[in-house]
Amino acid sequence: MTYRWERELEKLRTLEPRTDLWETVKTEPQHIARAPSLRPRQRIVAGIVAFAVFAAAGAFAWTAFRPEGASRLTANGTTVPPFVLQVLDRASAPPITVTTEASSGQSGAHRPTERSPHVLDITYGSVVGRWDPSSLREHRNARPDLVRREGLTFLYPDSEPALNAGAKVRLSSQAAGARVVLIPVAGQYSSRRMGPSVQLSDGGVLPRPGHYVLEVRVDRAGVAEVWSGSVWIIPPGTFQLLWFNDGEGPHGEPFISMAVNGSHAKGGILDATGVGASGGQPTPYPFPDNISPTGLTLTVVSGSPIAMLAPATRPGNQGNTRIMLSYASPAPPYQQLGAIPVRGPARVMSMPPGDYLFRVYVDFRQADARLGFHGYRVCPIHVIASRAT
Amino acid sequence: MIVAQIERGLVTVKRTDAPDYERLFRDHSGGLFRALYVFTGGRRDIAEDATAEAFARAMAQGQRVRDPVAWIYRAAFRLAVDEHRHERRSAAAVEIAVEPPELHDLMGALRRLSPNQRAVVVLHHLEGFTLEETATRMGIAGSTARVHLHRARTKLRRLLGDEEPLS
Repeated sequence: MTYRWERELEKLRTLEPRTDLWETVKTEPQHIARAPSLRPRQRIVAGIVAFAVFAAAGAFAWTAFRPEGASRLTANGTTVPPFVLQVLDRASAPPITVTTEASSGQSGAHRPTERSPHVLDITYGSVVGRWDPSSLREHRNARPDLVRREGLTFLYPDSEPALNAGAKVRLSSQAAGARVVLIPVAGQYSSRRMGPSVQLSDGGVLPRPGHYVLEVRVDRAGVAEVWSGSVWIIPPGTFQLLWFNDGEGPHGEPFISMAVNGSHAKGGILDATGVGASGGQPTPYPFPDNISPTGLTLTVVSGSPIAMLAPATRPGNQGNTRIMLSYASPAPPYQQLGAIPVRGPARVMSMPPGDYLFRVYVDFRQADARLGFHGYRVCPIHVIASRAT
Repeated sequence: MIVAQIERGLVTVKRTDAPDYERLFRDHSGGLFRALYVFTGGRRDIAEDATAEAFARAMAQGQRVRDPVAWIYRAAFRLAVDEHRHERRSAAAVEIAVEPPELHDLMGALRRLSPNQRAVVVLHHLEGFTLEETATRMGIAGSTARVHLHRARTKLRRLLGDEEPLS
């Protein structure tokens, strides 16, 4: 079997260096600037500095990882023993299902805006940790409810639709002692805590809007199993329409992205085809015409506000990334109605009837202004005069 | 005394087998250029300069190079890395040349790989080098090349799809 990438690779054979390169070899040798080599004294100094750094790193590593005693101080001063986090076979993990009832349902429940999940099955968890029983016996002070997360695994936003704040939670588990907590974090892909965890209980409700890490923990005879994922809770009466990713993080997760939220409490959004199907895909590069469809089309009643929210991009992006709302036209340039930069404030737009484009322009540059990639994604928005139109 | 004789003997033998660099250039510059092009993420200018420079330096070494092709590859990769570092230090804005449209998908996917992963996959799958040869030419360990290749294949399957078998 030949994979597509193998066939694509063959296309590289069309690449050849310029034809006069051999002449360059013969006539202009050594034209790439070579970094000047260090003088002997500089070499000695560099060696001493390198040794000092090596010694300091070794001392630090010994302090951090020395086996004897093996205790560390936590922030509150208590001594915590080390622990072992192992990956279990997922098939052997007991299934746990958290069920939410979306209490934000509005009239006209057939609308795609009601796509917030009624059932959230979190047996997807790809991070499974457990206490190693032998290690527990070795460390007498071990507490089975202590878990160190070695980095959270985040899911793509489109596989994890937003939940509505205040939605009722029905929690059932085949495992005794299951606990479900929501940990507020700084952003969809951040692990920086922004407040105390909220424990979910059967019959409880989802907390206020924000980004959360949803963590499910089962303690069984000294074994703690942990699942975690990413959840965005949004206000009732709003919905998450569009995600856009401008890259991929070190763990394969997309850095954020943009979101458009719109109110449907007054029936402003009539149709949102393709909701949830547009996000999570890496931006292709380069862009022949700088256009990449999102697969999402909106139909909106004129006067309904559409908010462009939470524009963000991968850390370190010094480019001119922005999101825009424009009049549609067959080809660029588009007439721009409004735009907000990344990390800028949200902007609410209300448009007269017509065809529009919601455009996300990504211009990713490192601090040295080196161009990483750039391009657009677009989402057509049809604004009609009234619901009867 | 014996050493000197051996050294002289080696020099004598090598002089009789002096590499034909023009032929080597004809046979290997294309493959080297492609590997560097991918290694640098599509920087044709660096790939061409490093190719030319490596051959020029090999010629300057004359008969002292035992395995000219491997030597040239290693030198070219080092030159490409140096040139990248030099550009980073100088913080100069760099224009990315427009690449052939048929390579858009592939280069987009390859840019998601690390430079070494890209180079390994091209040298092994496109240029037909064994893993050991690939490692030698890149100046890395064989086991490292194997890991790079495995990760590169996995990523490329994910990025470009893996459900299109050729009948």
